[in-house]
Amino acid sequence: MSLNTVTPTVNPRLAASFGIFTSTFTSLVLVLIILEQLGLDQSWIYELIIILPVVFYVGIGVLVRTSNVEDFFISGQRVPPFYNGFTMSANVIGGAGLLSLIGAFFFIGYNVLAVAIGWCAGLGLMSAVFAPYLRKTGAFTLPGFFGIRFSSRVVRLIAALVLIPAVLMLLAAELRMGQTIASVFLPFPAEYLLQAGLGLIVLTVFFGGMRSLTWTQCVQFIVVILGISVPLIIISVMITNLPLPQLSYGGLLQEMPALESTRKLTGQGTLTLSEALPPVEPTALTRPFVEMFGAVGRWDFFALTFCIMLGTTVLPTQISRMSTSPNVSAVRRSFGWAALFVGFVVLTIPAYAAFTKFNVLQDLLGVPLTQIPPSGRKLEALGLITLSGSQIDPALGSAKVLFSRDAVALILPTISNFPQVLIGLAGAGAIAAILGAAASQLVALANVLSNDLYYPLFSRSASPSRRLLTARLAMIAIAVGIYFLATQPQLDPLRMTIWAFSICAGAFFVPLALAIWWRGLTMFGALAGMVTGLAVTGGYILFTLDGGYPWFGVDSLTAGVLGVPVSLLAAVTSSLLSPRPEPSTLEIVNEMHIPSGETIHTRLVRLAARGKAPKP
Amino acid sequence: MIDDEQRKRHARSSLRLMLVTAGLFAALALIAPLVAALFSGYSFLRFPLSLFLAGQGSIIGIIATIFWAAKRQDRLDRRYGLTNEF
Repeated sequence: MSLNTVTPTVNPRLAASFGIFTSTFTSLVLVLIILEQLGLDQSWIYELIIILPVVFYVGIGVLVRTSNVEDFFISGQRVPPFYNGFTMSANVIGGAGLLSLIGAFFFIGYNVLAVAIGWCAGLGLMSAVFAPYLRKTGAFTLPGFFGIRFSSRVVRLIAALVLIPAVLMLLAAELRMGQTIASVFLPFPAEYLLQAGLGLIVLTVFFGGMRSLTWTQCVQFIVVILGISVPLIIISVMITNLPLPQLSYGGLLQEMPALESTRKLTGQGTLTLSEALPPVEPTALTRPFVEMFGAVGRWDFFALTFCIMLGTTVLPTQISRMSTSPNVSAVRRSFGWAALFVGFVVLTIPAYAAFTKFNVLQDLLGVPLTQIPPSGRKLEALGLITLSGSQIDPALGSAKVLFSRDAVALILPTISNFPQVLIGLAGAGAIAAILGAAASQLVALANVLSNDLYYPLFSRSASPSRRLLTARLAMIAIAVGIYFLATQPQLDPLRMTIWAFSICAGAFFVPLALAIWWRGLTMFGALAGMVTGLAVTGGYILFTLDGGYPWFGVDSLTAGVLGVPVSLLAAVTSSLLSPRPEPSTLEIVNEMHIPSGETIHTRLVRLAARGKAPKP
Repeated sequence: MIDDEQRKRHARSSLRLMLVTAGLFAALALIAPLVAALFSGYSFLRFPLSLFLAGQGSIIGIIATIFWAAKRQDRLDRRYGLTNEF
């Protein structure tokens, strides 16, 4: 049965390459620390630590260029589980998610734990419910999967159209976040930074598609881990004498309530989720850290976990990653690794926020403007906080301190008076997370445009080189289009990301789950599920944004809670009303559940070459 | 190729495992934080127990479940000879 399976060969020197990168990066940081002590100018240090790694990412992306279709779209199906885990966790968390979640934890504490739990549980659910079966299908993209499952171009096309808005929202959120972080360090106008960032992202994946993306994302994730761990571990050793911040901040939580009440952080009462989440503008601290179901009520907490969880399972960037594993069992192991990495990051995020808040409470709050310590002035100079004192006499009363949510991650190394290089290291980690996630969304979108819109619709006879060309052109087109979306002034990365997860959950969770687990789902059922899911979720978001009264107390951010049941209802009723699926379709469902042998996609390509099946 | 009867049995076992795992994830992610809030009076490793159970406990539980389920499914596939290993 598996005699005709080609086992993809894995590059045996991968670990060595990444070891070399990690040591190069570490030595870059150490050399810069030495140069800083020798008196290198501050702006030089920031520019070097931010720009050099980015040059490295682009270099890797260009070096692993390819013109092979399998390499370009699914990284040649030979990414070992460990590295696949790296890229998957970078996809799920993303730069916008990581930074705005650190900020949200800083402002409202454990009320936003829902997002962290949702990511982890979503990965788990995906590994159990979808992943092995998506891998067996061998589809390049989510719409491609529907195309194979129902042998239908229409479903493929509609799925592609339904998928585009959510990915665009994620991409815009990442870019805005990148602009915010980069302008802290680099002395260029914000719009130039955005243009340069977009150009670099396109350049990274332009020549190698998914293959470039895989290896740059691995490298970037190493930088992310270093960027958030190194400052945190140092501060953890300083305060708690233990290099294990994820478990040692309990002591801080014990001291925090007393400190918070002297600094008048006694915000009370439950708010709606949209009000409770901190806004993107500089805001004062009002809520205590140790609080669950305080600012965010039980129902909103539950709904947010639900939306993030289901959204993660059907994240289009994640689904494009399924086919990069060598075999079905490797997919499951990839998820184990991915969950370990995501788990590490989401255990680190609250610790990071707790240490930041503790330091801020001790040093910055409750002090008159004239007595703000030098570290506070440095934070102000970097634009991470804004300070204002009493109008009459700045030496009297406490200064008013406003914090920018998205840059909270940079406060910790600054307020602890670390060398500038470590502030830059945290920044480099943030930039790496953003570039990786943005590039993966760009690749996922370009693959969908090329494989699921252009190829089946306009040119069924397109040669492989033609398909690569359209994917590359699509990347450029998306980059130009997204620039206008990302420059919208009212864009809030945190809310945009949560909305995108909600929309993904509402539109795709039910059709995908039923397509794999219910033989009776017909093409019409899948279409109805997707379209009504998107319409209800998206419509409800627009309705509440427009000032509409929320139904059943569902917040606009968790609109997926309404979308999922409606989508289920629509999918099941239309499937029961439409003619029964053909035997050939049922055969595909059966085959999907057999984990061995060649992928369905490979078989269809083989049959099509002999003229016995339509081209997939 | 395995025969139809075997395929059906394999599919049924996979479905059962999937439902159990999905149920565990739902319990750990959606229910556990709500239950954990009941233990806010106790503390563990100097964390309030409620935060520890919801923040660290359920995340570690989810990771453990993923590995457990992957192992079970691999064993199941091997029993029916459905692997790509030779």
